[in-house]
Amino acid sequence: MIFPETDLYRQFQLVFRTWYNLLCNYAFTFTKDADISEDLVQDLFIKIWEQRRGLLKEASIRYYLFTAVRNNCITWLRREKLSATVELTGHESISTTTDYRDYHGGLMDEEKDERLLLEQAIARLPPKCKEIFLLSRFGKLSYKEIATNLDISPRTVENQLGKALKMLRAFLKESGVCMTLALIGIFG
Amino acid sequence: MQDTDYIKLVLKHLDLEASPAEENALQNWLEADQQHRLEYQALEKIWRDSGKALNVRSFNVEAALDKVEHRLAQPSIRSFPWKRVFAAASVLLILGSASWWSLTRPVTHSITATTTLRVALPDGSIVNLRRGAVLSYSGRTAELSGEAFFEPVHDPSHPFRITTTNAIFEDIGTSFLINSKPNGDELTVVSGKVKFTEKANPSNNLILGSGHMALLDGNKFVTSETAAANVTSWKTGILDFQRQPLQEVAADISDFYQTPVTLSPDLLEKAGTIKVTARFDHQPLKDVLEEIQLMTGLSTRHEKGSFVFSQK
Repeated sequence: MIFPETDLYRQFQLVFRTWYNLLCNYAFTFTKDADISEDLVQDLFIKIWEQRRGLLKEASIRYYLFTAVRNNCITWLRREKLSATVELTGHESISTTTDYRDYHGGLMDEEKDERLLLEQAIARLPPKCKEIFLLSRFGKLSYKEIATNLDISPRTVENQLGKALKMLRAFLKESGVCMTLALIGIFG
Repeated sequence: MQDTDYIKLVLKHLDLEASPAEENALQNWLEADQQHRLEYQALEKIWRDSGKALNVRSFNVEAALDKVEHRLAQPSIRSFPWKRVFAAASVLLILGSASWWSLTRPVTHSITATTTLRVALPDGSIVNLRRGAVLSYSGRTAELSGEAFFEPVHDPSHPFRITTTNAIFEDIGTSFLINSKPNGDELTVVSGKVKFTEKANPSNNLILGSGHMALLDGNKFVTSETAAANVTSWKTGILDFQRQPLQEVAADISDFYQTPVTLSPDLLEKAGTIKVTARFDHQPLKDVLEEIQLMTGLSTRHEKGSFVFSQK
């Protein structure tokens, strides 16, 4: 005897294991709170199983997950009486070196510094620009998917992403990291 | 070329969004100057690292999955899907029956069994769900996918009714097992009688008595006289064999342990003559197989995730 739900349930576990960590990290960029991020992502998975089970077998699940996490985070921020726009200006406090060490224990010092700088640089991007950049680099959503999701044109997505990369490049250049990069470029 | 223009080209290339013309333009730009290639490498590194830079926190995925599964196993109370009801029966609104609806508004409970689960319904009926089964119920009607054993409280004026994708079951003072599979619904009646109806064609139905088993395959009922003894083993934890042919024994064990147990081809001819009489109460698969080996003088081997009985 086979249970019709078993295959689907395995699929649910697979989707959960594949995306949970990334989605929590994504949620963290909004909430700045690890527990809240986990709660929001867990609630989403429960909702998917109870109401949107059919999505599990669809290729668009990734798009759905990232869109839903973003929306739920924004709802949460509003409910917490923190204006999402204020929260996302990019001038919010960034993780301290101590925090950072907890997360990057295994990395080489130099690599650590570069990642930390990059994390800081991303945090400083203008809000809309950062949002688009995260959906692209984090959610690996296509330009078209991002455009639909945020109700903007694909052209705007392209421009904002270009702007983001340019700003990150400039920030890292200022911080002197590009020297290392250039050297890697020559000898690599 | 402007700064932002080549950055966008690099980005579209990396994001696999560049058109052939843009790929060409990028190639030309790269070949024009050694410095351009260094710039490309720097950008590519930022692009690559930024994908990882934010995935820095490690959350405990397995603990979270446990938590979610635990929450899914709890009955959650959800109100009836109103939107669908009103969309389907908007006439009711015109008739002004909304107040009647709100008074009798049923609450639907939904349970997903992540392990074998015994559920007592508000009317006192008992349902045992096998792992993987999903049951939604509201009053004396339930919707099932997967496998479940029902012991409904009998009320002749309000028959307990279970619907699956293709069938409707109504109790007539009974305990019975439903296994709703994509390819058909299977009913085993342990006591009393059950009315088994094809959902799409209610005139196609049969009343099944205790000790009988029926399968609805498309619109055809296939019945058999004797219900197999071990259909509720997943609920009781007991496997009971009374002079049962080895093929049936292997099938019951496979089903109970969710592990394929088969017979090797050289056994098939005489397998019908090998009868097993044994009772296993919550025993591990290994012990069960050993016991049967001793009894029958056969051996078993483990092969690609399944156990195979063969001659010694």
